[in-house]
Amino acid sequence: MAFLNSLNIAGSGLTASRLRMDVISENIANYSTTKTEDGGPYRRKSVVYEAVEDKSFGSILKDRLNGDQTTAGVQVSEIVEDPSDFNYVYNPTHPDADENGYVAMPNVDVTQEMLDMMSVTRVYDMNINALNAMKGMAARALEIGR
Amino acid sequence: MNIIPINTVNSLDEIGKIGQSVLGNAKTDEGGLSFQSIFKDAISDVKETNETLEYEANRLATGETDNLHDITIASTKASLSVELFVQLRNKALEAYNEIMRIGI
Repeated sequence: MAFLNSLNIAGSGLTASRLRMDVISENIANYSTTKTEDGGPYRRKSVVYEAVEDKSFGSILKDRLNGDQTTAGVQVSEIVEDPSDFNYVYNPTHPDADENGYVAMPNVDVTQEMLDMMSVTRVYDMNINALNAMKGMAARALEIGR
Repeated sequence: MNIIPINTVNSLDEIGKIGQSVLGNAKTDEGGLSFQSIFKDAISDVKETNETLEYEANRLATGETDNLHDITIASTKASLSVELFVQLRNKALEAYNEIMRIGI
C-alpha cells in the first residue's frame, strides 16, 4: 500500500549515507597510501548524490493506480575523485621517492574527513528519526476508532 | 359451483429478481468497498511484506547486502500491514455483531 512506500524514502537516505561513510573510511584508511594499481598515490574520493524516483515496476504501478503520487528518494550517482594536487613531502629514504627526494602523499585532509564523518552520522540519525516518525503516524492512524 | 383455477405464484420470482439486481450491482461496482475486497487487499499486503522480509533476511544472512537498515524497514512494514489486517478484522467483527444485535 502507498503508506508503506513512504518508508522507502528514508531507506534510500540511509543507504546513501552508509555509502558515503564507506567512502570516508576508505579515504581515512588510505591516508598514507603512496602506491596504487595505476601508479601514483591514492586520490581522495567523494560521492555525488542525486534525487531519483523509485524505479521498480511494482512501485510505479502502485503510484499510477493510486493517482499520481510519486515516491522519491536519493541515490548515489557517481563516486568522483578529487582533482586537487598531491602533497609533496621531502623524504629521500622512502622507497617511492622521486629523484629529488620528494614523495607524493595523497590529497586526504584527515580533519576534513572527520568533519564529514560527523555530519554523515547526524544525517543517518535524522533519517532514522524520519522513519520512526512515519511509522508512528501509521500506527496512530490504525488506532482510530479503537 | 365454480372452481377457481390455481394460478402460479409469481411473487417469489419478483423477490429473486431484486436479489439478482443487488448482486449485479455489487459485482460491477468499481473498487467496491465491500469488506471482501478490502480484506483481499490487506491479505495480499501481509503476504507481500512477509515475502519481502524473508528475502531481505536471506540477503543479509548470505552477505549480499551491507544495508542493515533494509531488514529493519522490511520488518516494520510487515508488522504495520499485520496490524492493519487485525484492525480490519476487528472492525468487520464489530459491524457483524452490530447487525446480529438488531434482532428479528
